[in-house]
Amino acid sequence: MNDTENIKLSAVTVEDNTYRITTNPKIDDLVASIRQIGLIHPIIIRQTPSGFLIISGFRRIAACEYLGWQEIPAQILDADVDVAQCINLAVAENALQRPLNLIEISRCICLLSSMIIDEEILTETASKLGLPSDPGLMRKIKKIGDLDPSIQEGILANSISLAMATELGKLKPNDGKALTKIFAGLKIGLNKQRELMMLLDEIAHRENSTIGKLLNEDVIQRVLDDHNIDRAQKRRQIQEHLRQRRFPAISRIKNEFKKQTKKLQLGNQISLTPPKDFEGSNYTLKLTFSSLSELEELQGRLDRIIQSKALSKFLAK
Amino acid sequence: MTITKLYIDQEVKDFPESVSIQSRLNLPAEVVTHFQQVYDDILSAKDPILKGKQTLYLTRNKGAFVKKCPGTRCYTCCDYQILHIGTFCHLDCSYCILQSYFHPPVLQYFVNHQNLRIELENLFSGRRITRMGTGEFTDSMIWELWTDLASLLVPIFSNQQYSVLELKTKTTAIEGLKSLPHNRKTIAAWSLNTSQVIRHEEGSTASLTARLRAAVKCASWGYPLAFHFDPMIIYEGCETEYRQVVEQLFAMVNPADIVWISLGTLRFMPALKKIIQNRFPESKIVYGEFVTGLDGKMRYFRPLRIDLYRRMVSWIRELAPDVCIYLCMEDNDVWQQSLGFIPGDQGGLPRMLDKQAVRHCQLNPDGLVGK
Repeated sequence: MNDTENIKLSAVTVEDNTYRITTNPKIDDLVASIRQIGLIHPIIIRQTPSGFLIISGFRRIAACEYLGWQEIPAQILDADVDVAQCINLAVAENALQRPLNLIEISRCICLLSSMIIDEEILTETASKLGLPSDPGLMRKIKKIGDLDPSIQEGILANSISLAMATELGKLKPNDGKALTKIFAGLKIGLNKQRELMMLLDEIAHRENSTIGKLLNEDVIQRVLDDHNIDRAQKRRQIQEHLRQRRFPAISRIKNEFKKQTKKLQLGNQISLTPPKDFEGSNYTLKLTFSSLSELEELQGRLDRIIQSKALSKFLAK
Repeated sequence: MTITKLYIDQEVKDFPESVSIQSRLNLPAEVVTHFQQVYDDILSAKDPILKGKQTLYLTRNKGAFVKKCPGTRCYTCCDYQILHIGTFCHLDCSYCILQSYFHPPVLQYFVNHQNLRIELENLFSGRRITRMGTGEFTDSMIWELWTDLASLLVPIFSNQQYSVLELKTKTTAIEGLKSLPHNRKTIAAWSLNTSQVIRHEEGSTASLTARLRAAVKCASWGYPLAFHFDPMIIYEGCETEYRQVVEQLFAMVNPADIVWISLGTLRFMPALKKIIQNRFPESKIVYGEFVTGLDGKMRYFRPLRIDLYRRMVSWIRELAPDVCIYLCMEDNDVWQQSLGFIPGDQGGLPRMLDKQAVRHCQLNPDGLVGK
């Protein structure tokens, strides 16, 4: 590497993001720091026929441009420095300097695996640079780099986990984007995200539709636009709507059972539970009492339940 | 689907069956000393299930040829016996449970027929009515292309009077049955479904009409018949189409020739769902209203099953009031609501079917005693 020299900022090809690792678009902190104490570390660039290619220092360049600098101190790589060395420098400059987020790790792994085919060498290199070195995890993280930017933003905002991002990546791009937006807007936990995605995916398959189209339907949009309910209520309403659409018969019978048991006025001390999903024929009745007189009182209520037409009709179904 | 690879277990390479099958397949055989060599080849494929359907492994059945059908105590079982002649099937039905049942799935054919004969002789000497079939771990008739299985089994059963063999298929490979001495001890059976299900979900199986024509032929050769509406699949408009199947069945087949008709709706181990989604992305069958059954398998929501059974029973009874109908793997409550009785009323499902076998297949009724 050559010594540091000042180069014109206009000669830097800022639009080439080949070696960009950072996901942080903000430069306020850096601007303040440079304004106060100057630029401590020179950027690293490489001479190409079309100008200087940035290897490391994307944010520093943006900050200096913001400050109106015309020139910037830079280390210019020799022309014989190959792509592999550039990648190593770009990754090391980031991975060894600060904690990286998942997208940045993914960018590092993508860059490294573009030059290293052998898995063993790749994991060894990643390990030396402080990156995850488990091959399975590396494969998963690498895929994130190919995801739609909106999904990547979801990961950065912590509204989407790595596991969910992988699932979203398997969907059609518009479906993944639409779901990401819902997950971020409603702040849904992973399990609920999974259920929502499964319901939508299965309805879409069955009805020859797409997740994006389903989420755009009036019934869902109305819930999302309703300013009188909070996020949790919106999530519950959307989920319930989708459950009923995915399992109409099951939902109908479950609702019917709820309606009939309500009519029985069981009170707090008696609970009647149907077989799980109405498979099998054993119903469970639970009585709660603390004295004989209470039990006697419950007996009367039990008689009423037994004689109820609503229940017998239900049991005969 | 065509067999593209033939493996032969070193131990059975000189068995006459192995030599004959290799010559009929006209494929070079790779002789292996351990089954793992076959499994490794299958597991290395992109789609091991597909590879397993294109690979035939001739070997010895190291376990029993006669096995009890793996039922479950949660649902009423018919006490069927499996005649374990081989495994897997190349017909490639989307819902086939064998895709997740064998690890890995591979077409295996057992050629140690001497052991098979001995086991059957032992079974027959028990003088108890038994119903058995080859169509549980495979399709009974796919083997007719390359083997002499039917001509081996049918005469063996014809010479005794306590057991009946059911050959269950979705093919029309029945020509080999024509001249065999069967003495009505072999039931020719078909799995039936709507034309839509056959077209979209049942791979390279025969059409409904072709299956029924084959059944009519078998009946004309004196074979008793059976039909299995299993797995019935619930979809929009399925009721009309299943009714049409029932009507077509009885327009072509004389009810008096039918030993039994079974009804069963689609059920599968949860692991099969992913397999179907991956291998048959166009299939919608896994998106029905399924719940987890008492045996851990996914089944249609009970009221939906009962509704379809009730309809099927009424349509069948309308056209064939005396034909024996039974439900495959359902509980008493579903029986009562679908058929109006429970198997216990008739001495239990096994006895109910044994009696049908005695009546239609001229088995010795003494074999019912003690069962």
